[in-house]
This record gives sequence, structure tokens and C-alpha cells, in this order.
Amino acid sequence: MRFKVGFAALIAVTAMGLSACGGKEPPPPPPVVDETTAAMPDADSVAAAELARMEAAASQICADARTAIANGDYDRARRLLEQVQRDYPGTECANSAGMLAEGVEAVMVIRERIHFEFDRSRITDEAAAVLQRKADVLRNYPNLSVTIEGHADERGSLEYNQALGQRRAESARSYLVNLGLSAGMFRTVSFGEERPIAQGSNESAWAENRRDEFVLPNTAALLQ
Amino acid sequence: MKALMTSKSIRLTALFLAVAATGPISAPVAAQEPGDVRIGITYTPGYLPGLVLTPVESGEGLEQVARDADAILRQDLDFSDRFEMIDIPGDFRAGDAVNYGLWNQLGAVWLVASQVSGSSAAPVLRVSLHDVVFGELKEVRAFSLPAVGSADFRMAVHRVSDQVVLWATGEPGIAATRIVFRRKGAEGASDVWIIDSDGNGLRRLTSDESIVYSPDLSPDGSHLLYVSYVSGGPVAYEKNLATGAVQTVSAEEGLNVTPVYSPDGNHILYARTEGDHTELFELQRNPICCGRRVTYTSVGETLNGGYSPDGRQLVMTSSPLGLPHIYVIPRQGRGEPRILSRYVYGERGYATSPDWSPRGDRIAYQAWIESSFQVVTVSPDGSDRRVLTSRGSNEDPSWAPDGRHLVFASTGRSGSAMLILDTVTGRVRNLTSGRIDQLPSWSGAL
Repeated sequence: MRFKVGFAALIAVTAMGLSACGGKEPPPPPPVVDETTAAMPDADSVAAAELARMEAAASQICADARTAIANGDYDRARRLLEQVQRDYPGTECANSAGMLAEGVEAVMVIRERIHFEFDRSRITDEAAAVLQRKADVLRNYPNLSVTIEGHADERGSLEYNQALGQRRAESARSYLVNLGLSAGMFRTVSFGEERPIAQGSNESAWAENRRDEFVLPNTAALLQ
Repeated sequence: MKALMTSKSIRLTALFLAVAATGPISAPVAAQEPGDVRIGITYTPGYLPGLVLTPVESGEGLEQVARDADAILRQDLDFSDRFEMIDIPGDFRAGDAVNYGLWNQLGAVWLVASQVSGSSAAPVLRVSLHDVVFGELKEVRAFSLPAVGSADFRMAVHRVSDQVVLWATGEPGIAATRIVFRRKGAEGASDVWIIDSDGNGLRRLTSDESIVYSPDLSPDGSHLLYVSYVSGGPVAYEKNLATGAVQTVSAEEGLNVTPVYSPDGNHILYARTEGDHTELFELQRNPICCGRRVTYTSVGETLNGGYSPDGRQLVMTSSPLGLPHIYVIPRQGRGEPRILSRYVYGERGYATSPDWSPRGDRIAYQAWIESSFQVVTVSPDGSDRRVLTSRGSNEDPSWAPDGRHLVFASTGRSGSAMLILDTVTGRVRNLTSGRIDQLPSWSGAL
């Protein structure tokens, strides 16, 4: 529920075109359409009704996409925004979906995790490619602030893993700074082994948990 | 081993101990091969003198005080692991209390006799220690106790127990001590808790509903250092336990971790992020000021700092060579760090979380041995390494003020527990169990 208010505020100050698909319910057709419909022959009336139906359906998809964004389910948001552009072209929602989809894509690139080898904070080739993609996006948003969270797997001592997590966060920051981004854009924090994303005491769980997360405290700049 | 695991000691099938008898550390032993430190090989039980505690006597109306004091004294003397506790014979009569012949026959070396007098609001416990072998009174003293049921009653009796231990052995007891630790709650949140060393008096000290790390009590027990994520990242705080007031110790960007008090309570040693890695810093306390960088590792992480009991040296975890090891450095000046946790063939060489014994003669830490952590002790010169545990995972050892008991967090097939190990006899007991309790830190004498 918290998100709803925040999101409504966000929408109010952003693209006007999006405002039509803001509500939960499909908006009632504006009075002007009614007048036109009444004066139109049947075929046009059917087309107008079809148009209204398309707008309503598209509007629902936009609403769903926004809910997905609010819940952090960017994958779903992206799918919905692609769907509305493909299936309901020309609707208000579809017209504004392109920009929003770009923002979602940017958020996804920035948030993509990187992983580390056991007891290491070295940026692997795979992680370097991920960081390069982030840098390309972040360059377009110089005022954005990103929190880099370093995490460790459950092996190792609790306290040393705090230091290892910090080193992993610092490692990503300095890599991004070397790619030309401002150090001030990033805040680092280590959660040691406190927040595993994969349960279990096996190599695949450990590998998933040895990671940096990239958290955007405020996505408004990207999702307008 | 069998003989020493009798009486009330808790048998732990999940954790076997291989404890060498301590004693003068005069003959350094070469670092042992892992094969030499398997189960129960170097376990040499020492001699424990027999001790009998006759039932605490009382005047009219003080029976409950006597019963309470008796139970506490009896358990404390047992938990000191200094004595073979001798059971009171079934036909014991009060007149037998100071019957040296009877107790000598039962194997007692020490006899403790006591009476409660005064009133239940202001009871007085009079305790005498007798040398049964020589048939003489060694010590006698009257102790004023707080009213029965008051919060201080148990701790006051614990101090009496520690006095008896001191009379009989010349060494400090551990009854009047507490242990702070972190307990994990639902959904990964944790708080700092405190518990008496006998397992009583469990209570929570913080309620941040966040993540906490590394609690440490001030030498007088009045303040608590700890790390909390309540503001989003790891910040070091000090809490006044009497008033509940919390002040920030260090809140630099990055880590502010592993804070500990100096032995005199006038300084705080902790680790924080310096550039892209972690170094030790020392602060003055009262008021907190004037941070001084202590280590210049430059490569690798340095944290887990601790003081030698004389405050002249520091022990720490540092990883200049990649994996963390235990090092000792002089507290002042830029002396070359000396490595204690040597590479042992077949082990990965990962050692952290050192704690310097209050007696000064041993340093305990955790080392990665055959795919889990075990508690290891070593002499401060790096000699005489002993692996004390060999089953489950055993982490974050902390010394009692007597320099022979260790508390540590243990995880095995039967779950998690905090265990107390007597490094001389190898006896182990549960301090807590069934909860995820970690990072224990033993107080000084309270």
C-alpha cells in the first residue's frame, strides 16, 4: 500500500500520457467520446468501442506493470511493457511504455549482481562485463546514487566475512570509478554472511551467495 | 577421559575433545600434524583435590536463604573444575560437619562449612575452609548478602564461591562473571544478550531489530561495546547498561567493527575501512576521541584486535598474504607483526577471532581444520599449538578471567549451542542450546 501513494506521486509529476492509465479500474470513456459516438454511424461506433476496449486493456497492463515495478519485479514489468507495445500499439499506455521500458531495462542492468570466487574480491571476467554494462547506463544518470552491498558465503568467520564483503563492495566501486564514474555516486556496505539468497551448504549455494548487490534507493529518475 | 566425564558434566557425543593438560608452558612442542590431534590422544587428566561442601546451616526463618546459597555454592564449586566434588553421605548428621576423619576417609582434601545468620532482608553467610589432610581451619569469613530474591543475590553468592576457589587454589574463580553474545531471532535479525556463567540470568541488552555483531563488556561490566546495522551499515556503539544510553563510537563509511575495551577500560580498539581495506584503530574513551591508526597492513584485512593482559601487545586477524592468520604486534610503534597461526600441512591455513588469555600465557582462536572450524590455543611466542576440539564447527573462543575456561559457539548435527570448555580437564558443559548464539565474549570478574 505504501508504494501506491509513492507511485501516484511519481506519476503525477511524470509523463502526462501515463496519467490516463493510472487508476486500478479502466477509466470511463470521456464525455466527448460519448457525443461523437452518438453522432456516428454504426461502423465508427464499433471502431470507437473497440478503441475504448483496447485503451482499457492497455491501461490495465500499464497498471500491472507499475505494480510489478513497485514490487521490484522488473522482469515482469519489462514483459508487460513489451506486450503492451506489441499488442496494443497506438494506445496511450503503449505510447509511453517505450520510455518506461527503457527505465526498467536500466534499473535491471544496474541491479544485476556480480559474483566472486571463494575468499576473493577480484573482479572476474564475467563480473567485469556486467560492470561495463552498468557503467554504460550509469553514465546517463550522473545524479543517481547506488548502494553496493558486499556479501559472503557462510564459510569463513562471521567477522572476517564482514571485511570480505566490504572488500567486495569496494572492489566493484573502484572498478566502476576506473570506468570513469564518480566515486561519490556509490555508497558501500557489507552484510558479511548475514543475508544469503540461496540456502544450503553446497558449492552452488555458496557461489550464489558470494556476491555484490546494487541497490537503488530511489528509482524515480529512471522510471519517469 | 572417562573418569573426568563423570559427575555432572554433560556428555557431548557431537564434540570430542583432545585437550592436553596445561601446566608450565616451558617445553614448546612443534606444531602438530593434524593426525596427531585427533580424538583424545593428548588428554592427560590432572589431579583434582576432593572437596566437600556440607549443607549450608541456618537459623530459624532462614532455611530458604540457606537452600538457595547451598545450591549456588555447590554448582559454582563444581563448575570451577578445580575440585572433585564429594557427595554428602546419606547418613550425614550436622554434628559431622567438621569431622576431619570422616571426610579424609571419603577422599576430601578441602571441607567448606557455612552458616546463614542475620535476617532474610540482610542475611550473612559465614564460610570456613578447612584443610582436611592437615586437620586445620584455613580461612573463615562472613559475607553480607543482599535480600533473598533481589537481583544481586546470586551474584553475591557467586563472589563467595570465587573467594573459596581463591583460598583453596590461589587462582581466581569464574562464578561471578557473565557472557555477552548475539542471539539470532526470526528472519535473520539479531540482538545482544547476556547470561551468567552458570546459565542463569539470561536477558536481552539491545532491541534494535537489526543485525548486531561483536559484543564486549567493559572491565567493570557497566558498559557494552557492540556493532549494529540499525542505521543501515555496521556502526560501533557503546551502551551504558545502567542508564540505557547509547553513544556512537565510530560511524565512518564502510566497516566499524570488532570493538573491544583495553584491560584498563580507558581505550577502545576496533577495525574500520581505510581506503579499500580494513585496519585497526584505537580510540580514547571517556570521552571518546582521538582516533589513532594502529596497523598499516595496506594489503588485506586487519580486524579482530585484542589486548594482551598487560596492555602492551595486540593480537589480531590479518590477511596480508591472502588468507587470514593470527598476528601479534606491539601496541605502540610500528613493530613487525609476528604470525602465530602457522601453516600446517594439509590445512588451508585460515585462522581468525583471537582472544588473549587474561593470564597472558595462551591465545585462543579458530582455525579451519579438515573442512570446519576448531578451537586452537597457542603460546604467545607461537609455540605449543593445541587443537582443543575436533567435531562439529567451533568458533569465536573467549577466555574466562581464570585463563583456563573458554566459551565458544558450536554447531554440530544436534544443532547450535554455546559451550564452556575447561582446557585443563577437558570437561564441557552447555551454556545455552537450541538457539543460534554466536560471538560470545566473557566478562572480567564482576
